Amino acid sequence: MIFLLHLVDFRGTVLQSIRVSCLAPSVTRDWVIFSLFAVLAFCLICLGRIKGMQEMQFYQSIHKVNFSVKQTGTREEKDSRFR
Amino acid sequence: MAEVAALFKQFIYRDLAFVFGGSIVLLSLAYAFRGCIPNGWQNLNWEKFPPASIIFLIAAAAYVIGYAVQDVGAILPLRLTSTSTRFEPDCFSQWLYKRFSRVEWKPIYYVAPADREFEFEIHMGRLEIPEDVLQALERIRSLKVISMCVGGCLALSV
Repeated sequence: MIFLLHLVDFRGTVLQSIRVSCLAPSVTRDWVIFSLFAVLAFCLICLGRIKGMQEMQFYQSIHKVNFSVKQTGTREEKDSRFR
Repeated sequence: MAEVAALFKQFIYRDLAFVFGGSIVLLSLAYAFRGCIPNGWQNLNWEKFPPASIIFLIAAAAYVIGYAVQDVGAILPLRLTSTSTRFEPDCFSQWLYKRFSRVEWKPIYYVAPADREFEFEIHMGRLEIPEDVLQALERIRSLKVISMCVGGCLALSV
């Protein structure tokens, strides 16, 4: 129990020291960076989803057109080219 | 040189997104913990290390972080950064798609179990698809990966 209390105290001390030394000099600047990153992240993830959906529709269109498979020739035909 | 250009066109420029995204995470970490750098690190003589090797190491670390963020984000419950082409878009995504492309979202059917190999046939170039169409598809795919990677890294940095 004493050991656990020491652990909690140690953790608290460490966290406090990190918190104090890491305080930002400008809270406004941090909020600007936070807002900018949050908005950009949301926009980019939304755009990524849209691109994913576009890709699916693209595959759908290709599937619908039903492109033929390339004619690569039989083994004998390929061999005859090298003779 | 032409081979390098082709390689860059096919792979590397997409991988640069991972480096960029990972750099954002690293920079935000450095910013958040700027007051907590141990004294030992501050006394390091950085001139001993050649700049190229440091840049290479940071780029490699950024690549790994960017890649991990994007793929781990695709595994987590919300699947925020998933780049899969097999998902059922929700109402919001469908609305976004309509706003973006001015076309209604249509349900897809090529993902039926029997058509699993369809995408691979396109990737392998087995179908007689015009080059322009394949390039457009490749561009969409690249933009998707870049958006998801950088977006995920920004979300993590927040």
